[in-house]
Amino acid sequence: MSAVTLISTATPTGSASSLEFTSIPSSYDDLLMIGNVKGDSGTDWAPNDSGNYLRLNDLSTSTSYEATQLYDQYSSGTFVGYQNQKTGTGNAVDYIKFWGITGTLNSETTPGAVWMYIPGYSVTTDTPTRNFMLHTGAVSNSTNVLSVNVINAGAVNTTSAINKISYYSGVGNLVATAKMSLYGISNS
Amino acid sequence: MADWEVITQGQVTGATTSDIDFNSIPGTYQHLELSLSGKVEATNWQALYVRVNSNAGQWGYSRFASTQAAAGAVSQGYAWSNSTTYPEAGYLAGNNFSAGAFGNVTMIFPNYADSTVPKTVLSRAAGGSGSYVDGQTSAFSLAVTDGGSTMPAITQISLAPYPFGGTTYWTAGSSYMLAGYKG
Repeated sequence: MSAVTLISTATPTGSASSLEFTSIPSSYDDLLMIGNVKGDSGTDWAPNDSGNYLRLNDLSTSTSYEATQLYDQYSSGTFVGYQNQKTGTGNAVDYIKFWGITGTLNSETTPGAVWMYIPGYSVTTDTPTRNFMLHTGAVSNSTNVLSVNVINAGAVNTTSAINKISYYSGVGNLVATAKMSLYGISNS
Repeated sequence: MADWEVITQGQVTGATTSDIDFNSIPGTYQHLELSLSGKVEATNWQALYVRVNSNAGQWGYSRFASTQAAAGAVSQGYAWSNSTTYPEAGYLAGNNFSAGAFGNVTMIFPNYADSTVPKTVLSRAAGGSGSYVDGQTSAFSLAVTDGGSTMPAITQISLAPYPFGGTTYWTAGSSYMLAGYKG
């Protein structure tokens, strides 16, 4: 019988723009991350801010990640974008886009939501890589601000077990209500 | 499954169930997961609607979905209502078109018991039938507030084809489960 075990629920301090899960044990089969994200910038909403990103094991070279992101964006009720963003050989990136972290412009309090699954995160004999699936989104109740809904799947160019997850806000410090949980999934 | 527990599960019985209700949800978990495998008594696909706390809250969503076109077509949408309402959260197949029709939905409600901030929902759904793509595969991001900057803890969830309390019914045997992740 499979089992779900809480590794940690992290509460942002309110004074840092990043959050980390470190020393992740390798004793599970898969990882699952669920929670909310929210920055405190009063001059931004920007769920698609370029400073909203995630890294695994601090990997940060230009070939660390390859991913395909399917998303839609709406602003003022108008559709403003919908496309695949595919990276590949020679066009990899140094981070995983982590859209959905929003600032507080226009007194917005609505957070973004996150669901991320990392299967086989502790496998080290398989090649080429670890991989992930990510669903995030943020919806605004104000006009002239952006709402997003994103499915992102990709690979991490490493044969090491994933033992650290870090995400970064480009819209201010992460607020204390934006709690994030990390679970270990055992398949037997 | 120490840190993931089934709160309630069941099946639709009879032929006149329009709403699937999850009542008296305890606030003792960190996140909720809702799964549904079912179909509705309708000739064609139907939108699935969600509401919480007996229809309290103002909702918005951003979504994309496949369509019934043979290839290539994708639809997308956004909405926000400043009145108390309920939004779409997926699409289900209609049973009357094909006996093999199906629909599956998974929803995540992060930090559902925090009464100080608006709530969010991530929903992924798929539906179809054997010889005809009578449904859509979709992903939704949703948010709900009390009309201001907060939202009470979610203690009740209902799912229904439009409208709630209407005459489009769940097919008997449709199954559902609400589970909680501990924090």
